[in-house]
Amino acid sequence: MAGKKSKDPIQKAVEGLEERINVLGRAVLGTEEFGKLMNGAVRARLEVRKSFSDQMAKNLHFYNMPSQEDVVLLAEQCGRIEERLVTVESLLRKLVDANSPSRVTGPARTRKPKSAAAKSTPEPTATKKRSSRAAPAKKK
Amino acid sequence: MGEGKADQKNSNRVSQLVERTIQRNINGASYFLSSDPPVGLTPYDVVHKRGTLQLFHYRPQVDEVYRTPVLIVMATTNRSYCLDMMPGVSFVEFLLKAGYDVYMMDWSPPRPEEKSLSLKDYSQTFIRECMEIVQRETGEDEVSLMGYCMGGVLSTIYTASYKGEGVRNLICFTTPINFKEMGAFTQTTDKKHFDVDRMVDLIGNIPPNFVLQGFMLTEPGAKPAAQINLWRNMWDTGFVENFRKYDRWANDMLPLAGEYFRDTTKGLFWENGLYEGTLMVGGRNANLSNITVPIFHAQAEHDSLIPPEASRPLIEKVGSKDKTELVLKGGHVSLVAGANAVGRLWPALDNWLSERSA
Repeated sequence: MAGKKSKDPIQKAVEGLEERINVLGRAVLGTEEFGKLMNGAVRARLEVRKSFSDQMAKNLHFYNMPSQEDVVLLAEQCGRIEERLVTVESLLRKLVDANSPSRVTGPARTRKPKSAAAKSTPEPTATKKRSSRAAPAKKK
Repeated sequence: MGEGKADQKNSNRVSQLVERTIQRNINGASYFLSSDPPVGLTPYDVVHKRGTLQLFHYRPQVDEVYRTPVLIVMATTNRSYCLDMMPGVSFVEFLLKAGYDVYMMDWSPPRPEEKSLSLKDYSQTFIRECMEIVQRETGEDEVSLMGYCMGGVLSTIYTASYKGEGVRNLICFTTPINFKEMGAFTQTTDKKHFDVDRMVDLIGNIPPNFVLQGFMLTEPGAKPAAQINLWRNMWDTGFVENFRKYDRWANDMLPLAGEYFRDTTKGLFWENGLYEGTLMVGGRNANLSNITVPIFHAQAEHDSLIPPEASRPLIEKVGSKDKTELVLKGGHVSLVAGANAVGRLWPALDNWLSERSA
């Protein structure tokens, strides 16, 4: 934003203001003291949050209700099941792929870069859709 | 004669002022009352989903595509629509129309139980998983890996730690390598006073407002100036619409998985492992000299988020012989979206990539 040249005086003033705030801000925010101060404030906020959530967990336990930690534990278990499903799915896919011809579909993968296309006669592209591709020789 | 002209001029000014005031009220009301403008409109299919990760395949828009598919790794703090803002100014749409087969790794907010996702998961497991899917879907062995910001860091770590296995080309946009040059980020995460272990142990995933505050520290004047500009241009419907889209990009931050945040703070900020060549991820050394594939890196001259000093070493340190660096005017966002991107970066990238994709 500040890099833009403009003739509008108000716009120029706004850009000047932005630049001055940035310079001043960087001078203040870039100091070690500010870093210390900010991290101190973050730490204090986190401590308050932690003690609040601990108290909340105690209350929920009293009312025999699941706390966030319990829900996260359950979700983690679901996540592990999901991961195993992904593994099973990918193994099944590999099995299917190994036993069937290529299922690759979509446009032809034969496009040439502009420089090469300019040298050779262009081919019509409208009829190049196909259901399976003659992919170039694999390296595997 | 002269007086008549002056009257006409004044009358035009008044009518313009009235018109703008009315339009300002209409746009102002719509700004506060309507929902977020639609973004990410290029049609795609979700071909894979696992927790925070989604793999999109954008529907090809031409009849003949380049042989090598493109896999974009989105920055972990942003959503994929940042590269697909609106028709005509969408990087994804540009790639599709230029004849590339485009896949995108998109992130949704990590759930509380995903706090254990680490740098290894993001830079190796997820990328490898998606590359295998792309390879299977396209029938191609090699993929062009493309990353923006932290997505570039993940792509770089992957390519370095797997020595370019399955990667035909590596394309990075404004990718930090020297984390000692990251300005306010380096200062606020200084290990002398920043206890990352305590933070992650206490809260798990890092909330988006913490990430957002970090971004705002790098350019404290940007927000007030943007608000003043919005007010001044409120009468201009096009300006307001664009402002809302880019404002959404700037403020729609994703939380970060706790372990991933711990790993990046320690490995990248504290040890500067990527720059020093000492970064170990999943038992593999992510040394930049391991990268020998063709590489293209675009940086922004006035990027306050990722200063050029932080991103420049990428090209200097990779082992590739075929390497291209493009330094453009503009900032972190305007590098990949906006007039500068449409006019300069995108065509330059297309020229480079098309020669290496057939």
